[in-house]
Amino acid sequence: MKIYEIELENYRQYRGNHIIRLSTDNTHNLNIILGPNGAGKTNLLNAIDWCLYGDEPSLEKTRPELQQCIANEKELSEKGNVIVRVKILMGNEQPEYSFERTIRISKSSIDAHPEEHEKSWYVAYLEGNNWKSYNGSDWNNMTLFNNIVSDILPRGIRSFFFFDGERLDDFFRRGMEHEVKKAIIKVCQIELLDRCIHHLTDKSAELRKGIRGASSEIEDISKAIDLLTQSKRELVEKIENLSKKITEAEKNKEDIDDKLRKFTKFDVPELQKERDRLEIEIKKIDDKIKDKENEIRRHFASGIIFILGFSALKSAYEMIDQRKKGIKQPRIPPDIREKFLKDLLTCHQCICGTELSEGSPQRESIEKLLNSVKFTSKISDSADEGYYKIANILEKCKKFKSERVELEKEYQDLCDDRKKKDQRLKEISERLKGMPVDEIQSLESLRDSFEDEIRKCIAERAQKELQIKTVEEKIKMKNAEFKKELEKDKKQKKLRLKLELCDKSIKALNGIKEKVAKELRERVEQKTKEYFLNLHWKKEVFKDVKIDENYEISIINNLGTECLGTLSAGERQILALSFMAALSSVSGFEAPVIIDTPLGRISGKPKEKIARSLPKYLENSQLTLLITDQEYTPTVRNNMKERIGKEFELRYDEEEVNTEIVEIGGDV
Amino acid sequence: MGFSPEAVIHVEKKKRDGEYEEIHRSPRSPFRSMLLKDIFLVAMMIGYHKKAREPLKGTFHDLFRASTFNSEEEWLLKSIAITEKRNLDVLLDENEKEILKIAEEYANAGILILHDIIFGGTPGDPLKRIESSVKDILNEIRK
Repeated sequence: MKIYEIELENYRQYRGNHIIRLSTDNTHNLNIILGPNGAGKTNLLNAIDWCLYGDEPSLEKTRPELQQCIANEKELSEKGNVIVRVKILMGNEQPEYSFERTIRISKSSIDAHPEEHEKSWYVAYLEGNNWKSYNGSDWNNMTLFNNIVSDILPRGIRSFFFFDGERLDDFFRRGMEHEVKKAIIKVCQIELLDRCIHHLTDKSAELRKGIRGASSEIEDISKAIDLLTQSKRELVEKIENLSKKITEAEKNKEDIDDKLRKFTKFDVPELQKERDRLEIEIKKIDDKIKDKENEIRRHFASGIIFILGFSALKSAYEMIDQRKKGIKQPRIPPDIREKFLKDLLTCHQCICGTELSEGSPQRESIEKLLNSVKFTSKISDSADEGYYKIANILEKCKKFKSERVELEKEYQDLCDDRKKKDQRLKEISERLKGMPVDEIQSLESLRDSFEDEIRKCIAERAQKELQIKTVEEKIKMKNAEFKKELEKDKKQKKLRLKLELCDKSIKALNGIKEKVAKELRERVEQKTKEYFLNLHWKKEVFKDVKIDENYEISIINNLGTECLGTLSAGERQILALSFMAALSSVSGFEAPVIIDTPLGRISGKPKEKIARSLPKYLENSQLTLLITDQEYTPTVRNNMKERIGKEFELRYDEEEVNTEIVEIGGDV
Repeated sequence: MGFSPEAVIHVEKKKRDGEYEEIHRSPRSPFRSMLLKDIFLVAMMIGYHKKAREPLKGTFHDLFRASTFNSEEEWLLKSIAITEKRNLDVLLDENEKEILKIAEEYANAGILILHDIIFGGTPGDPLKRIESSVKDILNEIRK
């Protein structure tokens, strides 16, 4: 799917009527829209969002104050009344869909806020050779329009197709696992399953409340379940808020680190570098500590059972030993003796010539002997085996304590190492706070407060997570009690069956959700790796990209070590672009991709290297880059030229409050 | 040799849903995420150590197949049975059920003690507490 044409009328900087016709050529499907800051690049992205979805998410996040009026201010002040319209023409091999959103805005006579009137929408699609069109004047009632847009690119995942390059880095800052998780969950579109689960949970509650003529026990349990469910919801909400706070504080802390790295005075950058290194090392030590804890637990569980059973093992060993010593060693092995006696009975004659006829006392005597040999042989076989096994276990018991002491020592060493590194981090912080520059001092103090906030929030979140588990346990127990009480009351059979159906469905949906998320995570991991290794200029340095079950991303270098924390800004941008490409590819939607300021945070050489990789980026999708002239250097342009279809320049006239869209090149 | 493939280890259903579940799932438990077989064995041995043995009551739950015990664990169960019966006849195939019954009964009492050690509110590391209760045995072993 490609965008053929975008038409703007009086939308923010775009005064009057403007049309931009993008390249849809399959081999030259890269469009460049060049403009300085403030010329209207981001607003072009906003216009697309506004037309298709009726909102402007990038403004909502970054500059909410600009949300107020979408009309061109000069036009509005001169004419007092202005029509704002955005039209988008989209299609595969030819234009197939046309979307249009219009509003009339007028200056208010009462206050500074403009008034909105005459909202309308229009959608048309190609059916055979004919266009079918629909329109309306109520933005709250445009289901057909929304459904068609949703078929092309659902609202929930558009941010993986239309995005701001400068914000991409956020994904891979430390502690941002839940952002990665959120993105993958969004792409799975499993909110549909979540909605079903919520609906069924509500339905269960409704069914329980609707019981008539039930015992007071049933009513009490039902009330208790409702209260517990409500408290679980509140806890989930609190956890989400805490996660947001942690993300925000992590980001702020990273921004401070960035600033400190750029300081040229004193040894600030060196100290910050040391801190970066120590933080990576601490993360590795923490992983090792966790592994060691697990090793200690496993060693304990597998060893302590034999220590606790030491007396039994010893006594069984002695009993077997005594038996072995007490039994006269037979001249021939037990199984041979058994066979020999059996043969005598089959031949009905002893080796001495005595007849062993049925019922004869001689035959009975041999039969008795055979039974006793069988019994003794079975016990002996088993006891023989046990004799050696138990001896081995007793030997192992002797090592248990020393192995445990060794493991505890290794664990303690790791903890001590961590403490030392923590201490060094404190010293670095103190030194920075003591620098004779106010800015450094205040940045470091601020960083301290963010760290403190992160620590507190993480602890609180862990506490809330534990509380959720307890509440879930209680809900489970109460549900079981409820079921039991209901079973006693035959009148409630129908209700019981309905509740059971709800429970089973919720269980099944949760199972599906987990399975889908896992599958998608693995596919995103695979695709991110593919794109990253394909786009990166130092392919031989990196070996693998991993997204673990906690949605933590790691980059493995060819030495087998994790190196996400040491990636350069350029490399992180490549990783972020790869992740976005993986998300859009896994989503299954073939929508066009538009990136605002893709190289904004990258400088010098890395920028040129990324530019060389960009033509390979999403080769089969129409890609539009909204780019500043600082980003679009001649080398960058040259590195991308083979894929560029069209180039436009946004020329902003401050006096006229108007941006002209001028096609400047194409087929470079 | 191993236990026969059809032999199953039973626990009381309410203990499976209660104590076993909490020891297996709770983040506070040092035995979290371990196999139920391992938790059963620890419970059984704590029961044996404390001389607490209790026949199973109420509804039973099939916890796992006895054939999943490795040979060392198998001989631990057999040693307990030999010591209890003071007789090696318990090793005969036809007495397999008796060996498993003894194990189940020790675990049945032991699981409550283990649960109390972990969640009973006594401060400190539960593993260390179990370890200190076998200090004498460890000293004896060292000799």
